[in-house]
Amino acid sequence: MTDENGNLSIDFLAGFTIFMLAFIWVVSMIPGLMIGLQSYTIDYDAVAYRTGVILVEDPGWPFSPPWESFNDAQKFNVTRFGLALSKDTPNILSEDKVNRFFCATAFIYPNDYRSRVIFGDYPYGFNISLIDDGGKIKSVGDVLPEGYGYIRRTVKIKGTSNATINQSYIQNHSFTKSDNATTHVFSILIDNPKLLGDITDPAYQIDPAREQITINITDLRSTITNYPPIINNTTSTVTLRNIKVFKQDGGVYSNVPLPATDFPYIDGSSSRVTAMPVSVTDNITLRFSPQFFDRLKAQSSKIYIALGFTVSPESTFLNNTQALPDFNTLDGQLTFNNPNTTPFYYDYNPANVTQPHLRDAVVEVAVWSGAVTSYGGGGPTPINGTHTIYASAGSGGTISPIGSVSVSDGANQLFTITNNTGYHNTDVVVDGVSNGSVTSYTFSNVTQDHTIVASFAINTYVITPTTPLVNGAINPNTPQTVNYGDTPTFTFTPSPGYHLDTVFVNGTPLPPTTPTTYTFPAVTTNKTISATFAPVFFDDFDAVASPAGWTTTGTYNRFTGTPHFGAASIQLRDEPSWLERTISTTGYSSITVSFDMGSQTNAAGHYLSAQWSSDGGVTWTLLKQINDGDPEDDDNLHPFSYSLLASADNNANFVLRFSLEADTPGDKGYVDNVLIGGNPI
Amino acid sequence: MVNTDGQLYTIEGFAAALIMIATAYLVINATSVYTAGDTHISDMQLEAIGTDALKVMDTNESHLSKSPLRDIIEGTPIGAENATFGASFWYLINNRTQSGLDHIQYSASYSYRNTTDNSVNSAFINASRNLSVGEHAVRATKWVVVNKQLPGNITAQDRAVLVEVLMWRD
Amino acid sequence: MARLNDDAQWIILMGFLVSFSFFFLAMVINQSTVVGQTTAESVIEFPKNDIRDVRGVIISSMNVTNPGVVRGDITVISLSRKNAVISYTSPQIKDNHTVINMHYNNGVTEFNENWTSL
Repeated sequence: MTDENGNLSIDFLAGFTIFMLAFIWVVSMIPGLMIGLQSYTIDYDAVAYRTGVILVEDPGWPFSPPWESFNDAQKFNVTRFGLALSKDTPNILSEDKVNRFFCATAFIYPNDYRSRVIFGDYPYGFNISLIDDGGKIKSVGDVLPEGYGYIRRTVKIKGTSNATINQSYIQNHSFTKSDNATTHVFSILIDNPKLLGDITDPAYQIDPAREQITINITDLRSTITNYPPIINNTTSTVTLRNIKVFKQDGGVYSNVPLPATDFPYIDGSSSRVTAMPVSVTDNITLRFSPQFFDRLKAQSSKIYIALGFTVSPESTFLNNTQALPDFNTLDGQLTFNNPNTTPFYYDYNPANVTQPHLRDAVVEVAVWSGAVTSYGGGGPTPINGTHTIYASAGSGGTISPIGSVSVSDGANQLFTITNNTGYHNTDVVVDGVSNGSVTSYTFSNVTQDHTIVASFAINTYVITPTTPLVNGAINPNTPQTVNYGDTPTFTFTPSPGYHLDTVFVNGTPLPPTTPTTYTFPAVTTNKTISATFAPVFFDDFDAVASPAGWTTTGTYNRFTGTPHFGAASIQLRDEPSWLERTISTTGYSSITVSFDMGSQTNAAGHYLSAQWSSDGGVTWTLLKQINDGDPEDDDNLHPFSYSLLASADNNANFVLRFSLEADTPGDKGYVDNVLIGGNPI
Repeated sequence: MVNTDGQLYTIEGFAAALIMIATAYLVINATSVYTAGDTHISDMQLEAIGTDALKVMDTNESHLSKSPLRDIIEGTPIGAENATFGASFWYLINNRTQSGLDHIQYSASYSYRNTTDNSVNSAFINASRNLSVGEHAVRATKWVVVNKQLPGNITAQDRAVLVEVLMWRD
Repeated sequence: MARLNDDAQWIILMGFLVSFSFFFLAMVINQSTVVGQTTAESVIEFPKNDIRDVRGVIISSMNVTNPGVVRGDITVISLSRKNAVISYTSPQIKDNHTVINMHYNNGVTEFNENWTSL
């Protein structure tokens, strides 16, 4: 096959090639074999099932003393979590265990839970939640991802028992009416052999060493005042002197000191009282932790709790133990032999004690692979070391980059804020804190999720109208604030006889949009607006050259005596005289004429008249004639105004004439303020 | 010119190639296809939910009361339907902590023994709807001791019956 | 030919080697595809709830007036509906405790208990 010459035989090559080709082809089929190999997805359901069983059917370890009684510093003694009441009562959970399990301050997700309820080396992520029939949800763990293993268990939760000793109980059962005393002793009996013997099923049993016991003594004030002899509500006082606990084993009493951690709550306070004696107004709540009874190891003993009260003044009160002169000597000897008094029995009598009640609940366990990032800012650092910054912008601008931005742990990220035309930045809010209207923001050394929101507002501008205007008004007549791009409209109202002539925007003359309004094109800066109004024709004859432009006949002059308006008027006198003018009304309609006219004629047949012609003076229409003796013939100017017929509209041959028909010196006629108005067509 | 010398390796190569390809063909055809394993997980979950719910229904609320399931069986004559069972049971199997209610249907009955001929008969309790052909259901059971007069006896006495519930997902 | 030239047998041997390793790999993978099935199946297969249930009903029927009828009920219904054989003794008193000897067999799993009361 081979020799030192380095030749290979064709036979060898052919054989080897065939072999290699087949080998490669066969090996490439191997990945196809492995398609079914994904065992870890099945694993999630199995782990969830196992966790569900541990939680719901197992009471946890250590069982006695119960793991939920360890305080936060001792939590490392808890080997395994379990919520069941005992191993004989699966699916019945203990409320104390449930509260302790979901307590986020005591146990930290996920590490404290992984080693105590999930188990295994693989870092599963999980979510355990519980809802009871009150609708309250407790949960521990992360937000559920897309695929997870799941189990749901239906359970019952055992509530705690409690007793309320109120006025009716005190008065009906334990009130010894013959004892008028200042020292009263009220005692409560917890008979453990009876409690543990009468009912053995842990689901219904009251076991002070396993569950909390609460005793409320209420209505103290009303009890003391309602029962004769009536004590004055404001002067009687009740003082809780001391609480003593006795344990009776086979007839022998031994005193048990009550630790300060089990002192009562007075009058609804949320913290225990720190020292006794303490004055009480209305109620006392005794709440004993299971550890207290557990330490007594009193499963076969009776426990008496005696509360000593001092009542002032003397009265019959909360006394079911024979009053003794000195409560402080009440050591080891309680006289319960008095048949008139019995201690308050904490037992299975539903009239005295609210029995533990089982309520429905649902527990759900979800398990998945643990390498998932958590969202929501402030969560634990994810395993793969990226954080998310959520950037968003309001309308009117944009932020770059926008949306969910992934940032590596410890990196910086710059955001640029740009506003659209016509808008401006108002605020950039980072993680709820305002940063002002900056145009860029940098997150330095990102170690957790953040949010950044940019807000914008539209620009506004002011349009100031000039007021007052001459011979007209503008509406609105106050400065207007408008948004960028708005097209506000201003309306002009001319005085009678005037029309809108020119609009001035920022001093630039512009034609009006409509005969009475002006609409701005899109506003981009502040502006001012003003206008001038013009009549078709006006002459007040104040000009020195008056009556310039008028055709005149007869005797006439510019007159500055009485009467005149302004600087002067025109006086016609002594002989037939007239004043005439052709005024073009081209482009106007609804012609109005107003003038001031007055006369002083001395003979009948003498008059001053105003006429107009629409055909250049061929035919005349009389407007007003002041005859001799008319009220207007009083040497004063009187105003007259008329609306003319349509023939005066748009007429280049419109003529106005004032004529005095007189022939006596002393006859006078006056004309002033001739105003021809019209609406532009 | 052509002789058998020099065909040594070629033949061996062919033979080896054939062997490998034949093996691969056999193996690929023989490997089982993984399909139906997943359904067992949902069966397991359903069964757990069902037995839990029955257990909860058979638990007294306090030592003073009787179990609701026992009350239902004792109070309903054989052949009659009892909707109270459905009201509690349906909610127990479908209640979730988040995301609303689940869609599990059920059909419940109980089996009792006839003492005269030792036969086992079944009495219907309640169903959310009828099980259609082709739907795959899971069974959960619970023993209940009831004081009831069952066929084959004249008087009411303590008897043991087996409550069976078929459950399936919509 | 006195002896065939077997220099090239290594190619055949390589071929065989690949085939055998292929078979082995396929066997291993074949086993693993059953793994997931087994996890859920084994939960269903083991009658945890049934045993607990039977145990509970036997203990709670300890004090009925007609234990024989109840025993008949349990054994007959269990055999016909659950395919499980159940047998148990009547309660015996030993040393101030009540003792019941119970037996359960559903063909796959067998359970025996000498239950004693507290």
